[in-house]
Amino acid sequence: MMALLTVNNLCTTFSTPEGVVRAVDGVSFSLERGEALGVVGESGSGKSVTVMSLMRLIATPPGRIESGEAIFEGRDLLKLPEANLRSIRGDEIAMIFQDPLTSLNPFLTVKRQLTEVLETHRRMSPKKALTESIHMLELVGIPSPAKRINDYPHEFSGGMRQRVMIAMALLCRPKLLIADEPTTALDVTIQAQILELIADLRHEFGTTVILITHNLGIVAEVCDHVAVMYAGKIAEYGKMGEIFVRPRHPYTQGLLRSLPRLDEKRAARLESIVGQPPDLTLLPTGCAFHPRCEVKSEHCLREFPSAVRFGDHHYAHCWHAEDRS
Amino acid sequence: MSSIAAVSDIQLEKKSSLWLDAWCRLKKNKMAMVSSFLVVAFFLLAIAVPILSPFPIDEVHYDSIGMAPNTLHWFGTDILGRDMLARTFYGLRISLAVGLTATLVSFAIGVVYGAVAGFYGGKVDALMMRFVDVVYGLPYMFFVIIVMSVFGNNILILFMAIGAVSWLTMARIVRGQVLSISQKEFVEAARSCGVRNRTIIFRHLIPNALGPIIVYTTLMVPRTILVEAFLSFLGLGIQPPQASLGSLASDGASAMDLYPWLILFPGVVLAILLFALNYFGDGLRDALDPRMKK
Repeated sequence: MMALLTVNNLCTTFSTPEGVVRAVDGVSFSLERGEALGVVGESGSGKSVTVMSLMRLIATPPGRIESGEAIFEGRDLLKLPEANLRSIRGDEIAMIFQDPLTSLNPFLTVKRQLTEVLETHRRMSPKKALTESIHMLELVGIPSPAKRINDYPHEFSGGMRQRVMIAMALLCRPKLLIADEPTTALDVTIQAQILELIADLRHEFGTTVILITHNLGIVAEVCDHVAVMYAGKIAEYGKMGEIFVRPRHPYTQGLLRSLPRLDEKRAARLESIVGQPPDLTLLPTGCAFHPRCEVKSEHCLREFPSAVRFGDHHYAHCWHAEDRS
Repeated sequence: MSSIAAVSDIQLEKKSSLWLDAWCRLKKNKMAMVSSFLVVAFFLLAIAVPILSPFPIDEVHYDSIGMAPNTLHWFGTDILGRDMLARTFYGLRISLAVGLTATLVSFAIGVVYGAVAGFYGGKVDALMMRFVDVVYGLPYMFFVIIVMSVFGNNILILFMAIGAVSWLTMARIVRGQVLSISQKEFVEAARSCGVRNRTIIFRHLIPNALGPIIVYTTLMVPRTILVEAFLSFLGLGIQPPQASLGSLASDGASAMDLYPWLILFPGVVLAILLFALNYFGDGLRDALDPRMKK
């Protein structure tokens, strides 16, 4: 079966006063239909820029997509004319943002913002768009949706607003749903509800999902594949189970060790990865992770590691991935 | 079920658009309602003054020079025996027309111009705003005098001259607002939904900038009325026997110690008008913000 989305060697740069920053540097991955990919990494690792580049929502200037291709159902998203791209956005590829408090227009009722999507892409009559929107609000668990749809965003709580955002994203039954840290701004109980909702709706509509997060726990809950990003590159990619059970990259191993565990003594301090994420204007040579790495060697300073494969769907960019298993 | 449906129908009717909602909220604001009533009343009086007033604006009566307010001439008469009530409301006409022109021009050009510049940013923005800077830098009086000497001294030219500069500040204000609003996630969300740029500008950006736009408009109307008075004073605007509130006040000021009503009535009308416009604008700004609740 052909993949829904194939990204090859995506590079996105930003010009800053300190010089050109390579925020995304040669990212490649492919997504099968119905798959859920989790993209994990620290702040500034290029997770969001990767998906924003796919939607071509990078502000240019200062941003620029340098190279690469993103084949979505036979069309290269990076080379498509703006008008064609606009008909894909919101219709075939939809997005949920981090902060539900600012991602709804405070001046418009929820109804107006939901029906706008349907009127843009489906040319629905206002009445039909309204029925459809109310139905979708019901699906995402908004109580008495026929009444609430006339409310303004500030009349909803944070979790409810994120539900509205999810409803908006799913209105056109997109083939690909991109969720950019959908739960970061919400408290933990609401987080769990929203994740459950995304997982449920994914199965209901068969939507392919890219979930960006810095929380591995969230990935475990929703995704079946994981890409770990570091300094604009994918450090390790694989099936969720494999990554969690047998991580190969020292960075992934460090991330997993830093999670709190239920089977540990309470007094034990959480481990952390020493050092700071690198400044993208002053990237270390070779493997960008080497200053923080416990197993680095001479080789790591000189050359970026090529992918070491472990089975069909698991690879890690580390010179020492093999001997660390 | 039917009662639930009925409730939602009422809700639909009640909250159907930004403007309808704003009207509902405005109705609750007493001060703004009184002000809007005054503004409307002034407009109607200014339009209807030729029908209502028994005295034409320019009829000179040498037998009734400088009369104090009385039952025949409610606002008194000036030093040429002309009825001040008629002159005041004819003046109001000109002043309102000038204020209205400035508002319309700054809305039609300034808001759109600023929003487009702020939204597209980069080179488009730089080019558009440098043009504004250039026009801004032109000495205003110089500009008006050139226009007047080319096209002749005409009330339409006066409107054009006021229109030509009134949108500049508005464009700057809206551009600044739009620049910051564009950074908000809902604009990105709208883009990620495939909404057209034009729709983003008119449906998402401009309504969010309405607060400062309205405040600036309410400040601009009195200012243009004063600019008009100043131009008229220089002999570049309204020519006698025509009058505006500004020119009446400046005429009245010169005879203030003998005939105080000459400055009193145009001044009071001008003051009430400006007060009403300010309160109305203030109320409108609050009413247009759906987050404001009482």
